[in-house]
Amino acid sequence: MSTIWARDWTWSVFRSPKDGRIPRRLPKIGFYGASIWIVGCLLIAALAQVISPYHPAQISLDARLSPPLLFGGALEHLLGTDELGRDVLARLIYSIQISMLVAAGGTFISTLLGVSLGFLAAELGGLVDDGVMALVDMQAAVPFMITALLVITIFGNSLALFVCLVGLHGWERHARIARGLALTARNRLHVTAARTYNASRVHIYARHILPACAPTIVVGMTLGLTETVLLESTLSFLGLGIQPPMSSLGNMVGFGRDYLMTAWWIALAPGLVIAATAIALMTISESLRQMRPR
Amino acid sequence: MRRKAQKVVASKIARAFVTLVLMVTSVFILMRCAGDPVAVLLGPDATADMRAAYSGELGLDRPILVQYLAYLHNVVRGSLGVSYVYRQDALGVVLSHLPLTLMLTCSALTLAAVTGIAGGIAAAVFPSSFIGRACTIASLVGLCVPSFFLAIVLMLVFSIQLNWLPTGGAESWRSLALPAVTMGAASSAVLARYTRVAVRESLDSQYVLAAFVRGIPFSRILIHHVLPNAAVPILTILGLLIGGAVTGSTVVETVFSWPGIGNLFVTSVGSRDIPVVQAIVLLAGTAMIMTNLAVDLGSTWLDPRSNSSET
Amino acid sequence: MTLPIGPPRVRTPRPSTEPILELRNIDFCYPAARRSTAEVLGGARLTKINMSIRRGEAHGLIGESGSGKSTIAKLLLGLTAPQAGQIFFDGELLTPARLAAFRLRVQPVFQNPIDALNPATPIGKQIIAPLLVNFKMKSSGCQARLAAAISAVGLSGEILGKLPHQISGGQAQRVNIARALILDPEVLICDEPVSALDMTVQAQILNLLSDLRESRGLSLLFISHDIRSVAYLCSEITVLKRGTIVESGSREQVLFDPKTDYMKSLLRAVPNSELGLETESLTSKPCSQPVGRRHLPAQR
Repeated sequence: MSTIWARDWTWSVFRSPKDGRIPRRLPKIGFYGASIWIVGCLLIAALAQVISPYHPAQISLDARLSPPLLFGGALEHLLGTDELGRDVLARLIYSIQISMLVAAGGTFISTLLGVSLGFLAAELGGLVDDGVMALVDMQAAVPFMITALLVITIFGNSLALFVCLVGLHGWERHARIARGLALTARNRLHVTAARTYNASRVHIYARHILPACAPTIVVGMTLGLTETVLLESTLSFLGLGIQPPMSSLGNMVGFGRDYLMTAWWIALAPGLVIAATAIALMTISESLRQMRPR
Repeated sequence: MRRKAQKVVASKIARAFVTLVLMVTSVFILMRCAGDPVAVLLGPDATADMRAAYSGELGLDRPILVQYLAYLHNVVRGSLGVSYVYRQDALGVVLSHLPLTLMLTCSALTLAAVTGIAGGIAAAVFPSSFIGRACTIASLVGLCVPSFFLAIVLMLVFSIQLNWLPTGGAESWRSLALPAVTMGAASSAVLARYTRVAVRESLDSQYVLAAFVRGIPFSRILIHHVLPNAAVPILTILGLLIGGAVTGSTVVETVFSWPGIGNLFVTSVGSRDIPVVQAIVLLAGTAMIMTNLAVDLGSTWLDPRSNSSET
Repeated sequence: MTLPIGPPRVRTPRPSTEPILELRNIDFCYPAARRSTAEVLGGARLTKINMSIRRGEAHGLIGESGSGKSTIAKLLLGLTAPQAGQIFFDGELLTPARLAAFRLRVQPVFQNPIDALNPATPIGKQIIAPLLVNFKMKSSGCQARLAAAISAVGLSGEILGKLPHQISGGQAQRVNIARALILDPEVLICDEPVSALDMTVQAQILNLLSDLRESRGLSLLFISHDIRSVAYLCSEITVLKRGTIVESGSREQVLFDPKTDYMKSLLRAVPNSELGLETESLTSKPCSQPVGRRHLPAQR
């Protein structure tokens, strides 16, 4: 559902936002809390192999389905174990790593693709511009989940395909924003001045236009990261994303669903992490958006 | 002026049509990547006669452009292949699952509209009060929490622990409750957010201040001045939410085993039932594009100022 | 193309008779669906423009807003092409193939000094940017030229690390001039370079331009709507009205013996002066000499 908010945020980039009525104190606390959480997740993702108490695939059949510490469990398994005796905390840590990697990779690809196409459309104009905008319209008109599922049906489920698919999500928003910003920036005086000393188009885009667009694009990336995390976890939950033996956050919730009655912690822990990460990312992008105007 | 408005309408319709054609073309290209069209559309146990008939229809011995036109013709006719799993016409299978999804979507959206708009108005009018703050935070949470997680939490609390409601299936009205609430939650959050912003903008404007100073009671201001102007963005979002019903229902129907289109979609993907998947994609895509167009035209009609700030 | 490292070569400071930059029969119109749209939008049309600038001379271009002055500047900088007519540089016809080399020898100074600078890059990098782009030099190799350019415009080295929003308008315009000078051009096209600056700073920049013209033998095209500054600086003046040249000639001819009513009304409209701008504030000495002998930069 955040896609709808993202869609309209794209338009509001070009009008001046008037919503300064939100009390200022709340975003600050939220922003720091959210940043701490995200940094924590990134650290966990980076150091997963080091800090994890067990190997995620390590099976221990005599400790199957044991609850977390505060609900009657043992100290060795802080968050309990799943149906094969694998430690939930360990699987959670590795899942964070994989989910973060896929989400970050996907966001990076989609931003790169979107910004490049947007700049291309702005610079070349004419048919190229019309073509890119038609593609953008088509991508924006149909919810991504639908096309993603069609592609998965036809082409199967490999990891590479999944990352590419995740990378295709959201490019149209970046393209629209980049195109609009580039069209404005091209008419600035310093760009004209650069043309008078024979600066190539590449130089102008890299040194003059990109720095002007960068703040907005970065905010778009954080928003894109939120959506990518949610997309990846939803697809994995449905069993159509990251496949076992790799575990992602959505994956764990999906498999934990079968044990909801008896071992609810298997599904709840990763679900809470997903929710917290999404909320944190959304808070950060909101705060960045409000900080932006110079 | 009328001419210009007609031109705008015509150009919007033309754009929607182009988008529609592009979408169908992309589906065509994807389907061709899936392999031999006859096998893909008819499945492994089609008889030789059926195969021959379909080959003729699809025009497989003709150049690709003719095949494309034949495909378009088939799409418009509704002849989209035979489901492998159900052994019936794919489009028929999809349409038979439609009523349940519609039931779910309508109840979810009604719930969302009521709570979302009310919450948004509350948050806008009383921003510092408990209700206002709670609504703001709730809308942020509702936007970000993935629907499958909310579904699981609700199922855990209400079905398993408290045992008030069934965990799945579609037997009675009670089994509608949890899915509708889950689906409605995300939409409600979006609506609340937009309503808050729109009402806030209206409240901050000069003419409302003027009305207030003149002594018009606040409730009257709210109903007669603020709400009509806040109507446009709200209607826009409502339209989008309706169009996005298929996506929203995918997860919710799967978790609660509600046998609607979303559930069908996921199981078909899992069993690689390509004709059904194709049918759902075309149907959902068309519905989205049409809804977008309707919303676009509607907002242009309602508020002439909002005339495309499109780049 | 090798650049001399060191003080700029001293060219002959006296104006020679051969024009370095020439416009012949230029016609120009901004592309638009309909002609009337273009005119309504204020894009100027130029018709039958003939103009020449000689070496080492300061040539003024006067006109009101919308008369086409900036369009001529764009044509002379190679930013846009005329629909008809030719541009000659140093005797050669300007073609798209020669555009890159042409641009190295003809440089602009724009009206909004701070807008003409990239807000995200430090000043030092921006001044040497033309060298980096055209000659693929490394920034360490440009330091000598950078220092020469900075001192030529009267700035100190402290400004090199600053960002454009941290400096004043006058300083920014000096930075722009330094950037224009670093390629060692032969012509400077100044499109209203002082219109956006304070009065005292205007005089400084005008004097700077005049000194540069003398010391380096630069030709200047000085575009302005302000007759006073044009009269101060330029020895040749062209007057533009609605895209056509209505008056052209030396400073004395145009200012003291205008032929058209348009020019006469422009001169009458200048505040605080009789015809001919004999105000003491512009010259350092009180003027007791008869008309025709001044110590204005225009006459040196």
